Amino acid sequence: MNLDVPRLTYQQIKQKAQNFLNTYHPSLELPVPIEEIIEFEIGLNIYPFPNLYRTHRQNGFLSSDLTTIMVDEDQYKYYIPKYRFTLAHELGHLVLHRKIYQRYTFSKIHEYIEWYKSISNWDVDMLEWQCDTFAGLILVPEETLISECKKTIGKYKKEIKKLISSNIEVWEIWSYLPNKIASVYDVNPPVVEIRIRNSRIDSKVDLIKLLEGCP
Amino acid sequence: MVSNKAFGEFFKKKRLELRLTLREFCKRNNFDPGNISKIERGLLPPPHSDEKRRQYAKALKIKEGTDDWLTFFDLAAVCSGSLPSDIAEDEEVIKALPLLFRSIRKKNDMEEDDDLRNFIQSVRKELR
Repeated sequence: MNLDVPRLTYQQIKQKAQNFLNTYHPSLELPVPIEEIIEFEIGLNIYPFPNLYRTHRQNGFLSSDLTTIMVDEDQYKYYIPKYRFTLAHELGHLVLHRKIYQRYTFSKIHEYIEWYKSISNWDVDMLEWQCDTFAGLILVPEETLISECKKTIGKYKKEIKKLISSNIEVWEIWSYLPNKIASVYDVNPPVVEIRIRNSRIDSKVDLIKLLEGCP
Repeated sequence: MVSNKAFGEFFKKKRLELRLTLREFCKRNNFDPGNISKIERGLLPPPHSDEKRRQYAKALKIKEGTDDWLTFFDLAAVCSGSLPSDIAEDEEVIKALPLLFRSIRKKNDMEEDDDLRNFIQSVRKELR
């Protein structure tokens, strides 16, 4: 079945994420209070679903009636950065794919199963990528990323300089920095690494210049 | 008959008025977030014991003798009589299922079918 997937570009998703933040979190105070936004502003329910990942390899999902985000209970309790990303990802489905949710409704379980099996992996993966991208942009806002990178480089000047003098390349430093930045955003480091790459922060922040004057 | 939803909706409204997330509300009061979420969504009936109802009302900062206090206890009394059936109806399950998710994808059709049915069964179970 053709899902009629919206072919959103990175720039289009970025625009939607910025519009979302302008509406629901214009202060851009970090970390972005995603749980509060979802419960207080959007009005969704959150349900910690026991063994959702252990049994079904699902981090979470948005219910098809668009009322509830079900999230793996272990993640809810113990893995907060991962949980926050799951919430933002599912929120992405609501913001980006509402029309799909409204288009497909079922009254029998077998209709649901047949429909699910008829849609292509390619389409589903495309929609999931869109939500991952949206989640990263919401949790690691573009406007804050450059300054956080500069702050971190400033804080670890000596250590970075040592790495460079031991033949570590600049791109490797950019790959390592997220480990020092992620806690500011309360996300896992790979989320920041992908955001740095997608926003091409390495071309906007002159790392070598920032190290000048450091012994 | 008033469904559990009326009590749950009132419960949630009062919690949101306190500007407390489910997590924070449960943490402060030592409640189980799964149970509270189910009560708010009308999947669990209000507690039968007066002590537990009072504990919830106190946690929601509902003052004794106020209109909200009366509403809370009236709804609790009315809704506790409306027990949901043991097994969720298909329509209810479908509303709770995800439309878009990627994990349950297998090369083998039969395996995919089994996994999907097991998943649906788990969702059905969580609706009670």
